Amino acid sequence: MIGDQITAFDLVLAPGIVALVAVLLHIRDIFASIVLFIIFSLLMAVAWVRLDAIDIALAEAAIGAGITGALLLNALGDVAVRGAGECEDVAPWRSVLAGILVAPVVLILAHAVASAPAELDAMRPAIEASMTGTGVEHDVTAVLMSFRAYDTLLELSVLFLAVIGAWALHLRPARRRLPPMGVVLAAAARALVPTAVLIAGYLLWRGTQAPGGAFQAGAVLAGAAVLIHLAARSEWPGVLEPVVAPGLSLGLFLFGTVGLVATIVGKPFLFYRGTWAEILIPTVEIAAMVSIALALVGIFSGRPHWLPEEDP
Amino acid sequence: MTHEHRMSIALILDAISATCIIAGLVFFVAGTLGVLRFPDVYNRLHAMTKADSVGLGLVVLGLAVQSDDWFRVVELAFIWSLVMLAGSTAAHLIARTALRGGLQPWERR
Repeated sequence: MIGDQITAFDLVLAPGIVALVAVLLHIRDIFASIVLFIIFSLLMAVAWVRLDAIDIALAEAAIGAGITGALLLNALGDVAVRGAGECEDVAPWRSVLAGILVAPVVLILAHAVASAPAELDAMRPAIEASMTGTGVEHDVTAVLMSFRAYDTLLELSVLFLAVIGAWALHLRPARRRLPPMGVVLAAAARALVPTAVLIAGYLLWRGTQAPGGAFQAGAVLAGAAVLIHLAARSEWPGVLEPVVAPGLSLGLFLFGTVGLVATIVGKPFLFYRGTWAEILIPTVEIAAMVSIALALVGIFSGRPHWLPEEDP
Repeated sequence: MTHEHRMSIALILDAISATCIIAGLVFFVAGTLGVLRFPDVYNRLHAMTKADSVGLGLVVLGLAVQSDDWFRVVELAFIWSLVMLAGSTAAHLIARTALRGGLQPWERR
């Protein structure tokens, strides 16, 4: 926490988040619960800032509040077309089962918090010693791209599989016609899209020395693409068509190749250190940003029209 | 500049930023009250968007006065302009959708 001080602000924020979640879980109206979920993500981003975890705050704001909110509203549009705007009653045994399943996770988290070293500063020298040779200066980026590169590679794979899954479920590409959004949104998009592209580039570039990175940048880019999609009512993937398939697999492909090359030269899988890392990490991050952005837009906009259609 | 001078300038800056931030918070409180109390979606949007734009503008001004780095001031102004752009656009879209959905504006009877 910033300066290890619990302020009055924190004492309002933390119970506020818990209360918000309680309302979110009990509300029946799906639209209202999505809006509350977006607010929850924003407040969580603020909470991460208070915990001095700027990387996670950025990811939470961009992915949790931004893209996930858009995805949920988009999905609600589909559900509403089929005439279901409210939650159904949940059988009590299901709530109990969910509680039993969640309890171990809560216990593991509580254990992790309780067993974390009280003096994080004491770990500083050890962290800094292991940073040499990673090719980056920011410790969170070193964790994501070097120490725990496995995790990032697997996250990219999950996202890749998620797009394929979403496209497999979307039986028809154009499911419903949204009303045209008018000139105001178009004008706003004209100002916001270049800004978002600039911010995405900045987040990516900053990532090696400061909070930021491929996931946050990819989510911001995806937000820009969603805005274009809504404002211009353009056909997806439109002009992006030739780059969708290669772009989607680029991050996974490049990261996996880097990992495999490491094994060829006799190092462990995904082990890269030294001068090479300084070039490889930004390259892999750019590729990952492109793939993440395309994956998120792909899930939002649905199956491209060039995929074979199936009758439901 | 003497020490006393510097102290009094700091004091004046503190007073300016406190005034701006408190005034900004008043706008936020008024906007929240409007959202809770106003009779229809158009009125509530009006209250909320105005509070967001002006309230945040005043808070940003109050913070900018405290900053000794021009880059921070530009950053703050940039954030404010983005919030204004996004907020006004969102308000317009909600109002437009409501109107097209056939929601009649409230009239005093």
